[in-house]
Amino acid sequence: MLVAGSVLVAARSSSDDSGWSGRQVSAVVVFGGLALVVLVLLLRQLAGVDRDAPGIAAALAAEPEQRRLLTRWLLRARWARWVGGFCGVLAWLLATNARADVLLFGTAGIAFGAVAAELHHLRRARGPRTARLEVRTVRDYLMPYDARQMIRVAVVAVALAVAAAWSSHTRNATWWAIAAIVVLGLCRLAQWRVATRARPALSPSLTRADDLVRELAIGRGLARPATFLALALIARAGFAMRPSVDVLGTLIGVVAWCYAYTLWWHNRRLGLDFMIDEPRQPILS
Amino acid sequence: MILSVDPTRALPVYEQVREQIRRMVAAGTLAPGMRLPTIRQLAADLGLAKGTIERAYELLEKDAVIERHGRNGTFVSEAALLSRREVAAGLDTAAEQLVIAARQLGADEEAAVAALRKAWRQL
Repeated sequence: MLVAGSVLVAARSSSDDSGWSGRQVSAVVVFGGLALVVLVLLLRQLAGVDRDAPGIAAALAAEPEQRRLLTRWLLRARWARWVGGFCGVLAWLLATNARADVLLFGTAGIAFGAVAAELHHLRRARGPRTARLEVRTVRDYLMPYDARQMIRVAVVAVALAVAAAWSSHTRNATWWAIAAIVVLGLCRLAQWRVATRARPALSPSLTRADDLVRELAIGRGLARPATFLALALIARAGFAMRPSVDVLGTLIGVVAWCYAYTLWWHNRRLGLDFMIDEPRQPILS
Repeated sequence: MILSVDPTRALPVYEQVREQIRRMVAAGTLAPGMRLPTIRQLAADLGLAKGTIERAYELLEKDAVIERHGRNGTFVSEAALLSRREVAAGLDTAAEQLVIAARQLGADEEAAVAALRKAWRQL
């Protein structure tokens, strides 16, 4: 959808306002076809059909109870991201008449969906309750790769916000960069919530599966969508700096935009589909 | 290390938490210097109000069982360990309670031992 939306924007911007060119019509046909496919997929998702989730769970864990837990999380997380992304692109179409940056709306939708997928909690049991005396922090679950990405993007956003604040012509860039910092901050908050989410005393096997769910939720589920949304915002900040530094602003914008696209592409549907194609020993065996 | 609380018991929940942590520290299963979960996390895990765990931690700190270092966390302090005889006595008491409950439920020895083994594996 993001690709199709970009094709449509490119086609619109390349033609004059007098009428629809052949390129525009073909872009609309391509986009319409893709939108139809997307609609069918959405209906399948709404019906709870995600045939890949059990396959991915089987590639992650060996024991049936672990697979059940992972499948439940995968279904919820993938569905919420998908619906979020769909709503984002729908908002882009309806609210901006497909004139704004589709990447920004799409990634914002995915990020909102990712957070929504983690906003659940266990009901309190009425009788006796058990828990392990264990300390759980974000650091226990966040992979160094994702942590480094978030820090790098945050550093770039802060640098842009400070640099853009020097000139009155680039005030908008400051706000875009601040928005990127806010997104990363909110992501950290959501990660903390996932890490400290209630967990009763489970069997060792289920505890390992729950740890894996938290690791996936904090990394692939939250850190990556926040990173590519922050990069999309940094791209906007870069483009908004053009009145002062034309070449550099454009360069920052294009690089951040391409990087955001690449990250999103590798992390689409949580980026776990490769596990079905390549038979491997389950991570939790 | 597992904590278990039952809000339906007559003993206040904060006392149940306090007593279990004190016993684990005295038995050496919670080593000195070990970090304990935050009040918020333990309250969430046990499905209790934060004030309940706060009260238990306050009393444990007063008993010098734990030390609280603000934002750095809560840690187990040095404590006099239980003797082997005291540990064995604690186990005997717990076993007696299991036997009483099993007999009240009409279960035989085999069923009680099987239930114990199952719980041991699961927790």
